[in-house]
Amino acid sequence: MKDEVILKVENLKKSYGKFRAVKGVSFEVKKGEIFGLLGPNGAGKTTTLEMIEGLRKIDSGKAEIAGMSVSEHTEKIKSIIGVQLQASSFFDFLSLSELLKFFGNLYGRNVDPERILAEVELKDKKKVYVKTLSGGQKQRFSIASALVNKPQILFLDEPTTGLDPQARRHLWELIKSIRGKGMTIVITTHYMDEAEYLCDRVGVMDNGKIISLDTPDALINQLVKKGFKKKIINKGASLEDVFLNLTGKHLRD
Amino acid sequence: MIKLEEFKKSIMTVANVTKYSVRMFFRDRSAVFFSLFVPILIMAIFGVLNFGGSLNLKVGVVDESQSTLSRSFVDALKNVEGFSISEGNQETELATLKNSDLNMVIIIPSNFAAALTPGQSVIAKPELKTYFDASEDQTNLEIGYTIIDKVLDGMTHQITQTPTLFSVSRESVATRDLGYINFIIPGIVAMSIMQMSIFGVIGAIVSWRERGILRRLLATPVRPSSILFGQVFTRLLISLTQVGLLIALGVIFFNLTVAGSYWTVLLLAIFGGIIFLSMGFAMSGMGSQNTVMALSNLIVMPQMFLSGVFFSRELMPQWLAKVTSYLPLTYLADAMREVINKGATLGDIRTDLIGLAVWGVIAFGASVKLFRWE
Repeated sequence: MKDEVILKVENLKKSYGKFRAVKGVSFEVKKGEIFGLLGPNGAGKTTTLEMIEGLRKIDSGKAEIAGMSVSEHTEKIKSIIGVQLQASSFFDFLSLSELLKFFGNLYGRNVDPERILAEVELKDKKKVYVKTLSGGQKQRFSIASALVNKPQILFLDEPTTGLDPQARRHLWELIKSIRGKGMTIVITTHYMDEAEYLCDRVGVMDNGKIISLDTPDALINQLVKKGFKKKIINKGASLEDVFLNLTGKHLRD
Repeated sequence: MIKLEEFKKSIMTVANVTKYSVRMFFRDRSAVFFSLFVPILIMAIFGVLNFGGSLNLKVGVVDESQSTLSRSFVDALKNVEGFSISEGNQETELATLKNSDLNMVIIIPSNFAAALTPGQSVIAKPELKTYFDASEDQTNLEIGYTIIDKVLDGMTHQITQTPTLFSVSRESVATRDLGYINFIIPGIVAMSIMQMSIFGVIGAIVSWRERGILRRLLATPVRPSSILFGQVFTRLLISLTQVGLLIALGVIFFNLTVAGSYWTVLLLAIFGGIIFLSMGFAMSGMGSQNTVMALSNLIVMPQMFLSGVFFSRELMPQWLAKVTSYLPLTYLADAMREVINKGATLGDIRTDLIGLAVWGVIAFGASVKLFRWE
């Protein structure tokens, strides 16, 4: 159970015209782990994720979730995964609980919106429209919408981009608590502090390739062993610490 | 068996998408205002102002014949909508005309009934004398005279035993008030179907695409076709609601008479809706929000004015009338008018239906080619 592989990606490739966005990506994700795909903008993280999610055609290579090929069983795969997309929004004129019911229906499920909203701390917002939510609340709702089908694996594409430090930290705790319930999570980010805090293992992507893959600690140790020395800035606190100290850690939704 | 299950699931999904889309539409006040309320407003404005005017002629009748025939003539005149008939002797009626309290006076000669005597009619053809107020609007008087002619024609046909069918149809033309509002309501019905279908689909699909909502939907196991069918049903439902509203308000407030079958109106509305929906799907794939909006206006606006919705295309120069006869809205508006005003059946409007079908094939082909999810 412990080391059971739930997601297996082998030599995944994708081109748009002459541009090779993903040039052969391979990795495995074990059940119950938080796996991070790191990399600068344009590294191919989102394209990789969307191929795995069945949203983009795979040019070549293979992606398997729970032993099923994504390209062969796309519909089945979509029903067992949860997806939070980068920069996607929801209908304007449906309340949060209506949206969750609607999404539940798309999976052929009757869902209890209140239970799901409680999971992401939005129970008191069940009657409002998404457009009235703050950035952090929107992301939490987006995650809620990805939970309606009780997925085996949850994909989060840059969930904290654009959030203030409070909301970011709050979302990290939420992601940890969801994993605590046994969920496998694949997350993309370009924030290294986030990856270091959340991920069990990370793959660093650049130019459409995974250039390094290990636990955050192992990657740091490898670098240190090579003789890397961080410029010691022994200030005892960072500006973020100052900010959070001044403004408090509580959420500003 | 598995196929049946799949089918059931698809139906459920389409119903689900439709249910929530309809709910979203009615909560979007600006959409409701512009697509549902504006056509009603247009109808109300035209109905209240009654451009082109329904006829209102005050006619004095002096019956010097006092025969069965003259009485039936007077009764026929009384039945003409737009005529208010008063009777009296020549002196008083002419005096009233001079006071401008009447627009016209008709004097039925004492030998009026002589027309009934066979052979006599040719020799002593009874002559109706009329006086009119020259200051009155000439077109109104013209229409008045035309109607009187038709009533007389109708009587002639009855007397001379020409086929009743002919004379009956004459009667109906003369007595039915084919006012401007009757002309315009079927046109507005057709126009609202076009607008609701094209703008509705574009509004939803393009904004859903640009805001990533379509992607989010496609990340679920839903079939893309279910989303499209959901859109089709949503727009058709709203369209039909609107058609119902327009016709009901027309009947209640503006004396609209629906001569044809309501089922034919319904079928025509659905058929027209599907064709304009296809156009909407095709256009929604042709670019970003701004491009598509501009493009759709380019297609919708000219049709509003060139398809005979607000005024008859017969008033156009011949070449323009010819060109505009091929517009999809022309086919739909003409067909609606034939059915609502003249009681046409599906068979009677087959030319329009064929025209619409041709547009349907073109639009469907274009939407298959142009529609895109991303």
